[in-house]
Amino acid sequence: MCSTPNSTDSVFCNNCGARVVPLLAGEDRVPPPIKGLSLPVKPVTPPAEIAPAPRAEESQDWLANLRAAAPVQDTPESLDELPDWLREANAPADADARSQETQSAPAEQVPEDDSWMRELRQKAAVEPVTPAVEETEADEPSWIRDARRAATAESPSEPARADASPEMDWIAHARDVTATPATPAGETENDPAWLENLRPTRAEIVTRGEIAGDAEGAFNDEIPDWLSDAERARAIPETRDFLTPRAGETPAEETPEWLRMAMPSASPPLEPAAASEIPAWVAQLKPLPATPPSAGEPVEMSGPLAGLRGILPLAHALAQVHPRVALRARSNGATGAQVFESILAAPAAAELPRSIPRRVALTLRPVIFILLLLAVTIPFFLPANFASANLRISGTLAAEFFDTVQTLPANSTVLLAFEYDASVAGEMDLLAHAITRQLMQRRVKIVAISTLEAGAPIAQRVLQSAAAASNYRVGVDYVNAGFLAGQEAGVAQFAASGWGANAVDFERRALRQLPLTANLKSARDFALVIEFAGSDDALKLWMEQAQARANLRVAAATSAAAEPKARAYKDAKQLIALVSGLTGAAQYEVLSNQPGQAIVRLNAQSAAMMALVLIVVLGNVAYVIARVRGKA
Amino acid sequence: MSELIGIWVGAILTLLVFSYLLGDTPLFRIAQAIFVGVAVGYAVNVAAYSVLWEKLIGPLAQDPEQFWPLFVPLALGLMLFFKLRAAWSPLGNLPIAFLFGVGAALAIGGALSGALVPQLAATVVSLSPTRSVESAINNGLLVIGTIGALLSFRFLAQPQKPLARAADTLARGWSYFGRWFVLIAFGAIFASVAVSRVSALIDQMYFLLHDWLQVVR
Repeated sequence: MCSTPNSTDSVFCNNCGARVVPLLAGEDRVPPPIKGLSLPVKPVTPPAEIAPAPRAEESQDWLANLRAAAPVQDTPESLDELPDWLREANAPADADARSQETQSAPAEQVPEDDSWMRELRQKAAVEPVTPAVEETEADEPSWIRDARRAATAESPSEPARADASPEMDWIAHARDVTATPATPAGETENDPAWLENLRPTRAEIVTRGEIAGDAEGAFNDEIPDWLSDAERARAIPETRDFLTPRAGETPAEETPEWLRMAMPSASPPLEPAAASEIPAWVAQLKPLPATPPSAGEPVEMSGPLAGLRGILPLAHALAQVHPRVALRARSNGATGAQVFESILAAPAAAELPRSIPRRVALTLRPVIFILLLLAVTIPFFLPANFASANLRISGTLAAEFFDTVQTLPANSTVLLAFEYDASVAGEMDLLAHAITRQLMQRRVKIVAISTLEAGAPIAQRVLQSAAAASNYRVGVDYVNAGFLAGQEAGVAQFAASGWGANAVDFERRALRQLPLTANLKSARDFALVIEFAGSDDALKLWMEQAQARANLRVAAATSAAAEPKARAYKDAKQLIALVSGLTGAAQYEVLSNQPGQAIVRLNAQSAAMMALVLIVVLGNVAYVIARVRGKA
Repeated sequence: MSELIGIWVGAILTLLVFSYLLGDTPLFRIAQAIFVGVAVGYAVNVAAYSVLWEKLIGPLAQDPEQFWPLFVPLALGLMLFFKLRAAWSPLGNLPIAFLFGVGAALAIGGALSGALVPQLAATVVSLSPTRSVESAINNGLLVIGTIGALLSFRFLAQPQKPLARAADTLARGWSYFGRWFVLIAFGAIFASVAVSRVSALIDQMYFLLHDWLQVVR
């Protein structure tokens, strides 16, 4: 057997091929192979008989015999687990130490001990002892103790500490010997030859880079390579991985083969590679050496970095004068620049055809303005009214609206919602005046309201104008309730429960104290709701929040822009009547026999519409002609 | 006298607005700024005086025990000022959430009960010509146009099965007519807006010629 450590599951030695597991009786009986499988089958080992442990007396006798016969050549069984180099180099000292451990007897009780061994033991007994460390180290493996001693020896401030335990091993002996540089020649001559070989020469110490004249350095020189590696690993705990054995862990000899292979090998220290061996990309990754802060860099005056110089060098770097560096264009960049210059130098592509020349557009716009202005202005100076002569009255929406108002009983109350502002007042005022006058002719009481801030003064103006001609009294025959805040919420609340208790009219009179509004509790008390809607949003507000919730009778007088939306409500019978625009106002004036401004303006509107139609037709003809010419 | 001043101010502002025909002139910008400023100032005045004072602060100052529920809108209104500072802004989310919640509920409920359901029900009409041929044609156009307009907003891939492909072809053809209905409706809306704006122009021209220059009876 070659004494090579093998894994626990190895049957044969990996080095020499010798059988490690003893052959027992009955092992040659091969179990029947499993059919269908061709994989190698590990022979089943029956439970081996446990060999009886040798008694203590027999062991002591065996060791004593071995010591008496050949104490130097004797090799205990435990040494078989050590590597060859370690066993060969330290066999004498190890044998001595092991004999002490086995016998556990004081030095005086060793009858056949040599004198030099006694001296060594006495020297060891003189060394200071640290009981706690000794107790701890007694339980540790020897290789861990060696590593700790080596690490302790590196510290110059800490004195070299010898292990005074009676189980002192060969390394302790060697350090005791080498730690005494002023040893007399006579004592040195008394040392055995193998101990002289262990003591390194001074030249060797200097050659290996150890501290000259230091006994600890000499001791380190004798440390085997694997122990030196352990020291390096201990000196750099951050880089040590989990596979590196620590104190108290399983030593390398006891680990399986696969785990030892995974462990970091005791490789020699890395030396810097030659420059020729370093690839260029690795050389670029080399960090630049840190530049020490110069005196010109600013000193931090406050904060946790106060007193430090050059910690925040950005401001200093910005303040420095940066010389202008001439940039060199790369070859491919220069090529691209040449291509770009050639593109710029090439003649421009054909110009995109402009649809309308700017000069023509500038001349056409004033023409349209002037044409429309003339169409609006000239009818006012004409003696005849062409539009009113051809105005259709019967069967129109205005006639239906007029009939709806005519059916209202006298002294009934109507709510007028003035939902328009000055932008559509040109057509809405005509409708509002015509309908209000008809209502006052019918002696219908009127309450006006508006959800627009500008709607309340418009209502006030319309009501006062109509009341002056109809002898209507404020608060009795008509009331301007003013602004209704809240938009959707306000209209919904008004449709459900009317005004609040503290509501006032446009002239700051409490509504509950006015005769007309004192008995009105909600919107359902009105016989009709007429909404003057300048936009479809205002119409939608009342239709969705008031008409649908309170099931009110609603009629709408809208602007021409809101008519398409209002027609949808009219077709769905949500509006009981609808009149819209300047045309509707003119129809209403004719129906109510109140000729006014609407009929006068109807001529201008007709002329303006004709002008717009003419402009649109001419524009389309010009567009078609330009398109045909463009294709040709 | 005040009426005369008002007429002159109105006439000058009208001319300033008409100066936009020559481009975006400073005169037009002056008139625009005056109109916007007057409108906003008046709206703020109405909101502050007609709403806050008369309907909130005034009643609370006169009789707090009777109008104690008004403290709730007062508190919610004051909490809106928390939005002025970022650290206190979350406290202002409560009245904002209240406003949005109430507004959304009213808008959705009103749109369903006031527009969608009644107008969908209005499209369920009789196509029988027994009452009136004109009415039957009108109702037929209403149904065809409504369904076609809805189909014009249908964006589906062409199916592979023969029956589904035939239905898809019919729907595509119908949506073609529906798209024309939509275009005609947009044209009618545009014409209505044009008529409304022309009416405003006529009103201002009549004001200048009748009230200011007094050259027209």
